[in-house]
This record gives sequence, structure tokens and C-alpha cells, in this order.
Amino acid sequence: MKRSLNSLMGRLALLQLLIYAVLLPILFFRLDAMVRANVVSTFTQHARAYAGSVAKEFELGDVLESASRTIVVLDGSVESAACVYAAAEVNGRLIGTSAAETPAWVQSRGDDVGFFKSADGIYAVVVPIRRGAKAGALYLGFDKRPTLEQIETARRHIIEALLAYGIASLFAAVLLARWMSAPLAQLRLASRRVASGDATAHLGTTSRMVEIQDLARDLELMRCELVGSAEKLRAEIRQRQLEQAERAVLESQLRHEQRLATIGTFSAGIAHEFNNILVPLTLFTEESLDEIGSQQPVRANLERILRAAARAGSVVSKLLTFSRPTGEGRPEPVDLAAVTNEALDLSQALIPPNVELVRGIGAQGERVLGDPTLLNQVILNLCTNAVHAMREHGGTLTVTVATLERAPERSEGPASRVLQLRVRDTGHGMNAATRERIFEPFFTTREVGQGSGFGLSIVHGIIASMGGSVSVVSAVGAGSEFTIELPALASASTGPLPHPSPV
Amino acid sequence: MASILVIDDEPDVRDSISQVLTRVGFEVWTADNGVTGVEDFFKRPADVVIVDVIMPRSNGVEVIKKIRAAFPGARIIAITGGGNFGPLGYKPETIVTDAYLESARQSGADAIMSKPFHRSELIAAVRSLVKN
Repeated sequence: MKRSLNSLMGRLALLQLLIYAVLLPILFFRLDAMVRANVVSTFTQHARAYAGSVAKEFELGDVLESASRTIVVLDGSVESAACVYAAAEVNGRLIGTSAAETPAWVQSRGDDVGFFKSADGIYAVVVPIRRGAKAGALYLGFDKRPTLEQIETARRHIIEALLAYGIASLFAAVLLARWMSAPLAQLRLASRRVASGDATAHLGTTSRMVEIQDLARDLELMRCELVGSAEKLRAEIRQRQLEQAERAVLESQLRHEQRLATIGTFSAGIAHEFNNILVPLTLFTEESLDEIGSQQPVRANLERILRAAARAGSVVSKLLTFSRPTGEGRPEPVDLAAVTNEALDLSQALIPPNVELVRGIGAQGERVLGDPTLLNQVILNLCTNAVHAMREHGGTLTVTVATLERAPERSEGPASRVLQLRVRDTGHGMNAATRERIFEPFFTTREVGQGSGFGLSIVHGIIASMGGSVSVVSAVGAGSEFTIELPALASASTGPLPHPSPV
Repeated sequence: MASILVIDDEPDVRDSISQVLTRVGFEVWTADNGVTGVEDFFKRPADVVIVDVIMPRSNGVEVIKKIRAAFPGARIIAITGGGNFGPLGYKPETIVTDAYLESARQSGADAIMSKPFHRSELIAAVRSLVKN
């Protein structure tokens, strides 16, 4: 109830009703009074004028001289329907009409009675008469009922007109309220859709009311702005998520690199210590061998010590290759495609018949700065691992070399070119834990005695020393793919070669 | 009889080299660090100096430079165990074998030998220097 009273329609209707409750009675009483006064005054003036003319007849003529003549005149008045009763009083003698009883008001000899005062439906007029010495009065009674009816009819008409007016304007108020609230409801529905997430809901109106149209236009503008900022916010969140993911990848790469660097430094330290230990071991053993005769049975033991020392020396040198590989010579421009082909030719002997070798060697003539012997070792190590992963079920070993244009780090910098060497096998693959550690020295998944645990750590060391990177993509059962990227030398470079920056 | 000064901080390395060279007829004396090594050499110049590149206090490169400055004709063999020192080292950022080997070469070592080496290699290296 309260809600419907607070609605636009309720308010308008209530306001209308309040106005009419005050206005309509005032209007009614005013109009009624005017009409009544008008009708009554017309009637009374007519009655008085008639009474006056009859009185004149009495005063000027000789009607009063004979009673019979007086009666004739009075009867004539009643017969002409001007009045319902007529009587004349001359010198105290009352001469009435022949037709009617003398009413009470004649006996009372009063003056004019007010129009509305008498209750018997008769309006009485009393006019004094003078003729010579004779003095008297004329009593005329007029029927006022038709006039009263006239007043009543007029009043009814006024009431009807006012009621019609009231109802019509109430109806107009309701109609106006509907015109205003319908487009508002339309807007409300649309904005509710916007609020529930439908950002495309258009806030429009079919109304032609200027105010409603203005409101709709403003709301629509607001919606566009809101949708715009929501979209912007969403885009920012997406961007931030991407950046976070990127940062996580970079951080994990950095951690990985740092770990390998730490291991590198550590293994170099160990290598140095061991080399120092191997010097007296080797020299004292060789001294002993030199001192004792060739027939001494202990000689065999000393020779075994020497062989063990030599093996220890080779392990240490592999550790050193991981920490800081040094080739025989200084780095030189190397044709990667040519070196890869050579290495594959060499490893052909290692590849069992159940493994197919596919070569995709592009980037012919493109060069990198490095040591061809070490690069050879890199490719051999990768191929050995790949073949090992496929030794049971066979598969395909794919080796490709390609040139890659790298987008510059900063937008205005020059694009860098890298040579990409990929070695892919269809072998057993590896899990994440293995993938994490494969570049560490001594880490191997092979059976004891089958692998040194140095192959990939040496690959990492060599590639890092050339300013390149090595990465692996692998999953259990899906094979592995090693990707090596090395900075390509500008093909036009003929001047002195830059020294590679220390790792 | 040619004389040899062996400078190395590792007693076993020092002793083994000393024993090998003494047995083939060289007169050998030793120093366990670069500072006393250079002092010993100045007191009594040996025909050949065998010096470890990576040592505490005064490293091999400094030793070679000092000896060369005073005795341009001195014959020097630099020996090294390779690797960089990192966590185990004395000055991690400076002790990198490659850099040391390179500067040992530049500062005038006549020969560079990587540890470990064979007795025969050691004798051959010393003899070839003594002959000149």
C-alpha cells in the first residue's frame, strides 16, 4: 500500500484528489450561488413588476369603485397564470379572488416574504395602493416551484460538469504517470542487466519525452564508461598475470643457471684439489716403477695405481670442462652446419639399426664463434644420449640446424640472429625432476657403469662458454628435444674477431 | 749440475717433483710460498724455477714477474691444477685458471704444465730448458 502510494502514479492521483477535495466544493458553491441569485432575482423582479402594474391599474382606474370589478381584475391575474392568488384590501375590507381561499399570510398583513422563507411554495408580494382618500394594499401570490426546479436542475448540471472534470483530470494524471514510468521501467530493466554482468545491454528508451531521453542518454554514457573501465581493468589483470607467469619462468631459469654456476665453481675447486693430489700420486708411483727392477711382482700393483690415477685425471678434466671448458685453440668462426654433418657422419657407427637418423641441416655457411672440436663433442654427446633413450624400442633421431631471427630486446635495437641446433629423439623421455638436474655433473639416470654423468654437464659448459644456451623439452614417454642456441656471426664480418666475453 | 727451485704450497707436490728431479741428477731446493720463493731465488738464483700458479700470499704470476724483472734470463716453468677456486679459493673473483695461465704466459713463463703430469714430461721440460 505504502509502495503504491509512493509510486509516481499514486503520488499524482493523490495530489489530484487533494486539489479537487478543496477546489470542487468551492467551485460548486460559488456557481450554485450565482445561478440561484440570478434565477431568483429574475423571478422576483418579474413578480414585483407585475404586482406594480396591477397596483397602477387599481390606483389610476376606477376598479376599486366596484367590488365586482375588483374581483374581475384579480381573477384575470390568476387566470392569466401570472399568480396563484390575488387579493386587495381597501379601507380595511378585503376583496379576494373568487377562486381561492384567503391564505394565512394575507391575514397577517405582512410585507414581502423572502423568496426562500415561505414553505408553501408561494412567493408573496404586497403592494400599497392609494386612490384619493382610499388606502389599501394589493396581495399577490406567485407560484415559485418552477423556479425552485430550475435552480435544482442547474445545480445538478453543475455537479455533473464538475464530476466529469474531476474524473477526466484524474484519468489524465494516471495516463501521464504511465507515460513517465513505462520508459523508466525500461531503463531499469536494462540497467539491471548491466549490473548482472551483461555489459552489452543498451540503455535506451522508446519514449519521446525529452527528459526521459536525456536521462537515457546520460545513463548510456555512464554505462559505456563503466564497461570501458571494466574492460581496461580486465586487460590489466590479464597483462599482469602474463607478466607474473613470464617472471616465474625467468626466475626458475635464473635459479637453474645459478645452481649450475655454483656447481661449476664447486667442481672446479674440487678439480684443482684433485689435480694437486694426483701430482704426487703419479710422480711417486712412476718413481717407484723406475726404481724397482722389471721382475718385481709389485710392479703390476704400481701400474694399476698409475692407471687409476690416469682415470681420476680424466674425471677431473671432465669436471673442469663443465666448469670452464677450454679447447685446444682460441675460438674461431665455425660453420655449424658443416660441423654438425661431420659429427653425424662420425656417430653413424653408434646408431643401431632400429634407430632412423633424419637430418634437417639448414643455415649452410652460417658461422658461430667457438671451438669445432668442442662443438663436435656437444653433438656427439646429445646423439649418444638420444640413441641411448631409444635403444630398446628404436625410433627416430632428428637433428636440425636453422637460423632464427630474434626480436630485439628493446624495440629500436637491431634484431639478433641465432643458430638453432635441435636434437630430438622418440625415446622414453624424462620426468620434471630429471629434467631439472640433467645438466649437473655426476647426474645420470643410467645403470651404474653405463654412464659417466658428465655428458650433458659438458654440453652445458661448452655452450655457456660460447655465449649460447641449451634447453630441453621432454615428457615421460614422449621423447626429448634438446635445443641449443648460439649467437650467429654477422656473415659480412671480416675484421678481427671479438673475444668471447668471459662466462 | 743444474739447480732447480720448486715453489708450491702443496708439500706432496713439492716433495714428489723434488724427488724426481733429484734422482735424475738435479740439485733441487724448495719454497712453500711465493714470497719466500722469490727471496730464496734472489739469494741463490736457480737455473730453472718451477712455480705453481695458484698459491696463497703471492701467486705464481707475481713470482714470475718479480724474478723476470730482476733476472730477465731466468728460466721458468709454470704449473697449475686448473679450475677456478670459487668457494674453496682464496680470492674467488681473481683466481681463475684461464686468466692465470694467460697472464703466466704473458708475464714470461717459458713453459706451462697442467697438473697432473708424468715424470717423463717433467724431466723432459726441465732438460729442454737447461739445455738452452
